[in-house]
Amino acid sequence: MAIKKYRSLEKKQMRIGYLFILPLIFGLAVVFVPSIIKTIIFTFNDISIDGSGYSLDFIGIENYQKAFRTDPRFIINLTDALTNLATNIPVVVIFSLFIAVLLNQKFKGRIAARTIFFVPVLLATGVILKIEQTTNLLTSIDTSRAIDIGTGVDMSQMSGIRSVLLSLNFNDTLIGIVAGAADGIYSVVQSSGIQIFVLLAALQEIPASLYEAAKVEGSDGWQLFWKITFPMLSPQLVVCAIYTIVDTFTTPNNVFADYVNSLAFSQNQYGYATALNFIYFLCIGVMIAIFGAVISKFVFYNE
Amino acid sequence: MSLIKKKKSFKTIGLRIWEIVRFVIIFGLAFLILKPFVNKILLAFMNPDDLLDPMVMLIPKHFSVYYWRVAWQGMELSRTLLTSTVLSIAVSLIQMISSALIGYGLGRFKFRGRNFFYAMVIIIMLIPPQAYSIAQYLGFRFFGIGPVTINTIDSLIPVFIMAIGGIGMKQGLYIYLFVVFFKGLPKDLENAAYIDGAGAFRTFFSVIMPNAVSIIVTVMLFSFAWQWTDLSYPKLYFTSLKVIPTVIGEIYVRVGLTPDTIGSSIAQNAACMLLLLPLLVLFIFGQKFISQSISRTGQAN
Repeated sequence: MAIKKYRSLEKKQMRIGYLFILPLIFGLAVVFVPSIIKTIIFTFNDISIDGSGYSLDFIGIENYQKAFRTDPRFIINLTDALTNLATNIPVVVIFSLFIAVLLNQKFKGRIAARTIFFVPVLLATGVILKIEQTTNLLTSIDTSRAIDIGTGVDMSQMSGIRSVLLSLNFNDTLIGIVAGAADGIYSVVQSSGIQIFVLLAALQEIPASLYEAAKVEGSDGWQLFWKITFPMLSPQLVVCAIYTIVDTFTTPNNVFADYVNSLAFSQNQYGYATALNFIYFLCIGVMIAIFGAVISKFVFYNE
Repeated sequence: MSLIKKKKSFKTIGLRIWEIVRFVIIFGLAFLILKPFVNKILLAFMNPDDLLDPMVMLIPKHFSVYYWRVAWQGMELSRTLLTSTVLSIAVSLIQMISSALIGYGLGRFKFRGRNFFYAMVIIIMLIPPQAYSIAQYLGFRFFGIGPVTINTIDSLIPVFIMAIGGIGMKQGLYIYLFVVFFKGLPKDLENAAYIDGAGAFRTFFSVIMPNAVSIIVTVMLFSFAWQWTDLSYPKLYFTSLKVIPTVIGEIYVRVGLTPDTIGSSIAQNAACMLLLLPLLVLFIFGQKFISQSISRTGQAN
């Protein structure tokens, strides 16, 4: 009798669970899943729009053939976007981890520092980034000020770190990487706000008892980080990496997205644009899958 | 004895050095984050002569609020400001409520398909909306069943529907945050309410939600800020309907001034700063909740 009652309670709990996620079921059924299915269908069609609806014209894999064989810009844009992504992910994730660990330590002005690091999440988004790009007149005036009149060398192009490395006779490619990272630090800071937020939250989830036990055993800070902090954070690091991938795609200064949008909305090549998007997403999917396969060996779930 | 002392003093020296390094890093990055904003605020007060004057680096010589006024007028024209405000407030409210419901359902109840729906949330977060935006656009352009369709483009309906369905802008992230938060909340809260005879929804609204204020404020703040500055959805779904992000690019011409690159870029800059102003105010008020939600998500694990 008691068991029966328990079961019915469980059933009730199940039903209530469905009720709570009803909005999600609605969203998936009405918008998300149809959109995804349509997207896949569109890639095999030529789409034309008139007042009363849109009509599909089945053309097989022509869109894909066009992308890889005839379109001169597609492959360049795609490889650019993907290499950008591949270099962006480790830089952003490592930087966020570093900053999150820093901000988790106790020091004076910690709250102020956390607040400031959070500012880009709210402020460096959407139209503000876009305007920052388009009003490059202001920046061009700024850089023209930096030109050294005596030598004519554009000082803004020669950042400090680059000249130091040059004088130390470092390899050119190495200088390129290091100086590129140093020059790009502003954009890295801008795009790692949420990641810092997620990691900081996760850092505080780690039970203090783990650290205490390790300290009693005589571990130093380095060991504490690699044996406790890093494994405990690994699931969130994956989330951060994935978030970075998506974020790079949705920032307004993504060249590939701009190209696809211009095809779709100014030239009305909906089918072709969808196919390009689909290829891009497949590439990202493959990247995520490889990344996930590699990383899952190192991810530690504390459950 | 002296050896131990020596070792200890080494340790404190190391600690001091680390403190200095840490200060330099944090201060430097904070400077890097804040400087462009200070720069831009000052820029918006300049007039074109100041911009071309090589002697003026930061502080404008001739303070002028002319471009602030231009920016404000451009934003007010044809109810742009009102549309933007209504849209952002409504979206942040709807997204918060639907994400909280979904997050509570996924985080607290065991039911068949739970893992499937949780995976879907992650997939929603994963697939960039641009990847299927064209199909989605057409779906809302001819919204309905079978031959009976209505055109919902150029209204707020598409954005609202997506927010309700948990697939609005960055909503995967909000749901994820809620799931993590609700998983960490102690079970005793609900049990007490159940024993008192409250139903699940009553419990949710009168017991759970009041305990989730910090995460609610955080999500609403994110959602408001991102909707407020978002360009991608308005560009896709609105044509004659204007929100502030879509008019900033043309704000100078919009108030009837003749096109002029320097003037219009100062005006755009001033408009951006005006756009940021409410976000800054909200952020200062919400900061406490954000840091609370950082330290509270999953505390009970």
